[in-house]
Amino acid sequence: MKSNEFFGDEFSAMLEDYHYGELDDVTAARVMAHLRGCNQCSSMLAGLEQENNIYQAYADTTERNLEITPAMWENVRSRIAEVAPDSPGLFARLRNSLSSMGAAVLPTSPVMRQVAFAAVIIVISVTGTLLAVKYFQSNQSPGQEAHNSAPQPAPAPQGAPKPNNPQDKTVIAGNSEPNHEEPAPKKRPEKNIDKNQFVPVNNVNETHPKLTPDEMALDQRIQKLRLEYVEAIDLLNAKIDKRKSKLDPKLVAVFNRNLTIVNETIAATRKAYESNPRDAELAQYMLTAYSKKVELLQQIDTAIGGE
Amino acid sequence: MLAQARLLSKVERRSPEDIQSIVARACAGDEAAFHAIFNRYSKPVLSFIYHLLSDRSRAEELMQETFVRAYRNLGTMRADTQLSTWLFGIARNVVREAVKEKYKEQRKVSLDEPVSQGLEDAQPLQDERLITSELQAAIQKALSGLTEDYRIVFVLKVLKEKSYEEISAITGASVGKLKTDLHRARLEMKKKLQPYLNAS
Repeated sequence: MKSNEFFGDEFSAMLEDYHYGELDDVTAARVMAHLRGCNQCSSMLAGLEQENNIYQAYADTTERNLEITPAMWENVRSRIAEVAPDSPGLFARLRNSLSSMGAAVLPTSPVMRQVAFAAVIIVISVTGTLLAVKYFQSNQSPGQEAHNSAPQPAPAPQGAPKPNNPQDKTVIAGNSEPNHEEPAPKKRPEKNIDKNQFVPVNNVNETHPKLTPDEMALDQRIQKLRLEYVEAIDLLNAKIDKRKSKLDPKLVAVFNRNLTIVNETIAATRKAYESNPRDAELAQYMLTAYSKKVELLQQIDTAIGGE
Repeated sequence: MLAQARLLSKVERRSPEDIQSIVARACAGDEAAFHAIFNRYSKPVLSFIYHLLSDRSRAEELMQETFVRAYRNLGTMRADTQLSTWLFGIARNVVREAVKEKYKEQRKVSLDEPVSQGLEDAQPLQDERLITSELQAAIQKALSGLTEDYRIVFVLKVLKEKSYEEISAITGASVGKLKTDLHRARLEMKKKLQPYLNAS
């Protein structure tokens, strides 16, 4: 053991962690071994324990004298009777169900949550884009190359394709879901469309006549879930829109950046899935992207609400 | 009564599934379920707020406010969040707002000014069985003299014996910052209470 390993303020802080059982096993063992041979440090620990005993006695005395009276509950009860609790709502249920399905659980610190969320979205975005590129390229025939230069969304060779919906905005207030209400292939130049490449939301069977009934049923379930997410997103957008002025502009910028990424991810994964509705993994990517957007909007809503 | 007793025992057992079901029931408007939650957590929340403010009547008011807000926002509680952590987080926000409001009314003062000015309990607690009332008052005063961040981590770690992870979830601060703040808070408390610590 190094002679200056346990020294000064750093060791004093480490002793506190040791006392509270917050050290990892290896470090705790080292501290314990050091304490056996160091009277000075042992005295420090004894002093720490003595202080804690006094503080605990203070806490116990305080709490012993604090009383919860029936009147307090009656007061709370009369106030909550005026307002019904916010029901979990669609997005909370979706979030909780994803959590229980083993989706990534974000750290609870708000700063770390944002960092972790941004990292997850970047991973999803890159993965979704690569898959979209792969499927579009594999489905493309030589005669369809002209399609790539069409103004409507063909996937770019690199980076996430732009959302189809020209009204899709990345500012928090107007952040509608890309292609939420897109009509059938009307938006794309008919002559450039390969019906096997783009699958309109409601017309899977027309463009993929080989889908089995089971596959169709699965696709319908997936689309239903997607629409539930869309509904949740619209609800959240409406909520946020009313109160967005309360947000710190720096936080708005962070959220806008994340929303841009998640919108692009939704567009890319949705197109990839539409081109191959049999692929459950693509469906999962798409739905995960939607759920992340719901989660992000929920964070914004919470940030505005303050709790 | 029996149903309420069962609910209370479920909350006390702290099985995550049980608490989730109680929260779900409270969310659906089941008053007995929310009452069980109140019975279980009202005292810890009250003592937490009291430690921060050193004002019993104010602490009682803010504890009730905490539970009213908790009731309103039950639906937003994440399934993976511990109920006590969530409640303490709300309590912390309620206290912050109350302190802000109080100082806005009185004068322009930064939140980091000692809360003791104007907020100390005029009637110190009576029980002297465990420590002397003099020491009790000294600790209370020393605690009130800490900055907000130091006070919160000191109360949650030393008095309420929460883990750093729980405190991080409640306050939103990183574990590293919490450890630093606690260490400095302890040094400040020790400095102020040295005569008493030496005597004991």
